[in-house]
Amino acid sequence: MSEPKTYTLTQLCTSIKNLIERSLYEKYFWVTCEISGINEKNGHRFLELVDTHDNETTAKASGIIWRSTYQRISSQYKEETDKIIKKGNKVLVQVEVTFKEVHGLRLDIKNVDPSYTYGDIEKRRAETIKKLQDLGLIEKNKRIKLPIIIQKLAIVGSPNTSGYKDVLDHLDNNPYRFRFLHQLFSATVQGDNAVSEIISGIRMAQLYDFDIIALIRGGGSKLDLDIFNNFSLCETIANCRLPVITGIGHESDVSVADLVSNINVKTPTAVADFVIVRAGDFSARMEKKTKDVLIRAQRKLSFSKERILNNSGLFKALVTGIIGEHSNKIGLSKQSFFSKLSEILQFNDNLLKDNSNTCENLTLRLIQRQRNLLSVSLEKIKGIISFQTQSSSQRLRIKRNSLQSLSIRNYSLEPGKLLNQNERLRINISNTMKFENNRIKVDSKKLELLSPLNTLKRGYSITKKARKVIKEYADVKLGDTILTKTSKLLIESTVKKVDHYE
Amino acid sequence: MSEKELKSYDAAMTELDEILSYMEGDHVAIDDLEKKVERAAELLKFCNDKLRNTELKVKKIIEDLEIK
Repeated sequence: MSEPKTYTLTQLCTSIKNLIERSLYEKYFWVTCEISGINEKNGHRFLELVDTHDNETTAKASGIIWRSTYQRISSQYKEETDKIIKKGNKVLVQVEVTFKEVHGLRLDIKNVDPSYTYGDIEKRRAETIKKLQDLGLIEKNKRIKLPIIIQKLAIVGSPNTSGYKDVLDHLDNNPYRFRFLHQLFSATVQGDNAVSEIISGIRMAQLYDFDIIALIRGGGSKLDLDIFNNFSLCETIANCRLPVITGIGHESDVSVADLVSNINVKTPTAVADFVIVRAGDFSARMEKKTKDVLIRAQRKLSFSKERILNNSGLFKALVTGIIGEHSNKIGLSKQSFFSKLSEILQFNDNLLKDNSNTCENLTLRLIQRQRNLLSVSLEKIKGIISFQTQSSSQRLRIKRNSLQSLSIRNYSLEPGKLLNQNERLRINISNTMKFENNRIKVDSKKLELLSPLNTLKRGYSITKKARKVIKEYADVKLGDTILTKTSKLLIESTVKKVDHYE
Repeated sequence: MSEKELKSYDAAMTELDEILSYMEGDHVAIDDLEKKVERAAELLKFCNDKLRNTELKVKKIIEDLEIK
């Protein structure tokens, strides 16, 4: 058995190198892979490239970007370069297969097509959105009602960024001089720890009494902002107890964090401005409404005033009208009262006149009767007297005769005695006459005194009720209408009170 | 009036709206007018104060937070 032929490793590697160079020299391939590791040395980039399928590594290779190549790529893609050629990214690279005895197989990267990497980001973004949709999380944070005023803000972001400083500057120096409370929950917004720090920042912030959580990140490239497409981060935002406002600086695309947040604005300062404008708007609305209340109050007042004025005018007219009407009525009443009164007076006057006439007639008649009586008496007296005289003369004659006869016989009888007897008779008659005359005089005086007319003239009055003179207590009662007759007036009155008096 | 507690901006806004719509009605008593205007001013003042002044309560929360 012959000894098998042995080669040194160098020999083997050299022949592999020759083999590869012969068949693959200056042949370039576009390869998709994931960068699983990256190291820089003297401007050269040493990469670990892998390919995975269902989370299993299916291929692995080393890669290198020489400094000159890297500079060329960088001049084309500027700052994006570092973000494309970055651990964890899927890349499409143009490679030449090289083999060095010392380093083994190595892919010499000549070029990069970033669109593949972007496409991968897009793909992952779409996957995240789909997953969130399936869980019903896209709208979840949006359903939380934003307070009418946002005054207490938790800010999740990086403290030493201009974005954060601008936010504070806007909030603290707002033109309305509103006071906002803000508290930073520090989280780095780039690099491998960004996602976990942002998540813990949000979780921490929602333990406190804030109105909102502002998630801010200054301007960055598409790849920078890829962390905001992270599923866990977006899930945390969606499930946050407080409304989350995102202000992630980017120009065109919207991150998934923006999609799930309550409100998204373009930049960190826009978050501050949103909050300020909201408060300013509320304040203005408030002032406007208060002004409206005042205006309405004024309008109401002036309206009321006007109404009062109108009413008072109307009232005055009404009152004047009513007063006029009443004074007319009073005038009429007065007239009718006076005419009635004069009528009554006339009537009573007439009545009185009639009464006095009757009285007078009666008196006259009485007087006449007395006179008649008197004249009858006189006649009687005359008769008596003449009889007496006659009988006296008779007797005288007889006596004279007898005297004559006696004188004849006795002439010495005294003539004086006869004279005396005659005288006595005459005095007797005249006394009787005088007496009778006096009696008549007294009688007519008495009659005069009895006449009621004279009594009335002296101020007495007669009070009657229903043509009956009131004398007794029983003749009159309260409310009776009574007529009082004085010498000149007839007064009708109503009884208010009846009293005995001594 | 002051017994009615002022709590939130939303409540203030709602109340102002109520006052306004009440005042738009025909049956506003003049006696009420003064009260309503007073209340409106009170609401505005409350909101302005709240907007422009720090709430001690939250300040305290923040302070606690910073100690940690």
